[in-house]
Amino acid sequence: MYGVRDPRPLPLILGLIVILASMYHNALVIEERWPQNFPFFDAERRQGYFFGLAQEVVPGHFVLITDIMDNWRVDVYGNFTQLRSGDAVTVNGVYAQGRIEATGLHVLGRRFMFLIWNTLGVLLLLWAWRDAARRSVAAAAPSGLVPLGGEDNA
Amino acid sequence: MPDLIVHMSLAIILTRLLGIERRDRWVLMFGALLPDLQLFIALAALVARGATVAMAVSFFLHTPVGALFLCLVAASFIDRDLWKAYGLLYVGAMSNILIDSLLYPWARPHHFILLWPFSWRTVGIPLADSMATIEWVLIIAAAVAVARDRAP
Repeated sequence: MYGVRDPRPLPLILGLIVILASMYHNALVIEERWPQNFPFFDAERRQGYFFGLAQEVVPGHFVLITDIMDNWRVDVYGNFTQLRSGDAVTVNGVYAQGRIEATGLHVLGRRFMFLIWNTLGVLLLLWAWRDAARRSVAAAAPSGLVPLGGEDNA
Repeated sequence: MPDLIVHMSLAIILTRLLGIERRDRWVLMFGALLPDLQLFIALAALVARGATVAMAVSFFLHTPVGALFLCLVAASFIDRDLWKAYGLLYVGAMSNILIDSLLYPWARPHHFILLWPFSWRTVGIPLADSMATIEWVLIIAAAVAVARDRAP
């Protein structure tokens, strides 16, 4: 494919080793710190970013699920409660204002728009790739010659 | 968060500002996509080990240091001079990371752990209120840049 080659082994292996080692290291660090010193908590701003599924809920604490289900709160018994815009949540005994911007259909709408914008972004990248390939072929053709089938076929 | 359309728009503008050759522009744009690959790794880890581990194993790809190695892996596949490809990819990746950090503190944590592995401190500029405006300005500016390129 245009612009893509078989990988150079040295940078590929070096990069992968560091990335995999970092993943392993971070998993250990974060599991060790969870939940009391979970690194994604900004004490100064009293805002927390907590990710969790029901099995990771610690008794006595609420977990704000921002990424998985956006606007749901789970209590110590594993019950899910739908949050409303502006609701506050308690995390590890610290008052924290949750990131609750939308609920219900608004969330679905945001998800839909997110999908559309991201799809457009990928299409834009593919367009740039194809455009570069066409121009590269056209530039490589001997001057005065038109690629078979015309410019569009380049 | 800035979506991929915004990241691509910013990348297009950067290619024009930096005077990148046409045939190399897609490399910088691809670099602007790379940090968001952490999402796919996170999804895989989410299924296997749960959400906390998912975030743990993936967020650092969205940091300046993590991007150094992610770009190295990606550059090994690109049919250009290695360091040129690496540089273009990293400029693109940093454009992604830095514009995401403008959402502090309203987006997701991996957008703000910019100092990893030296510190877990969250870093960012709280411009979330202005982001919708900034995004549209970038999209329109990129569209104008492309249209000017295409003009006879």
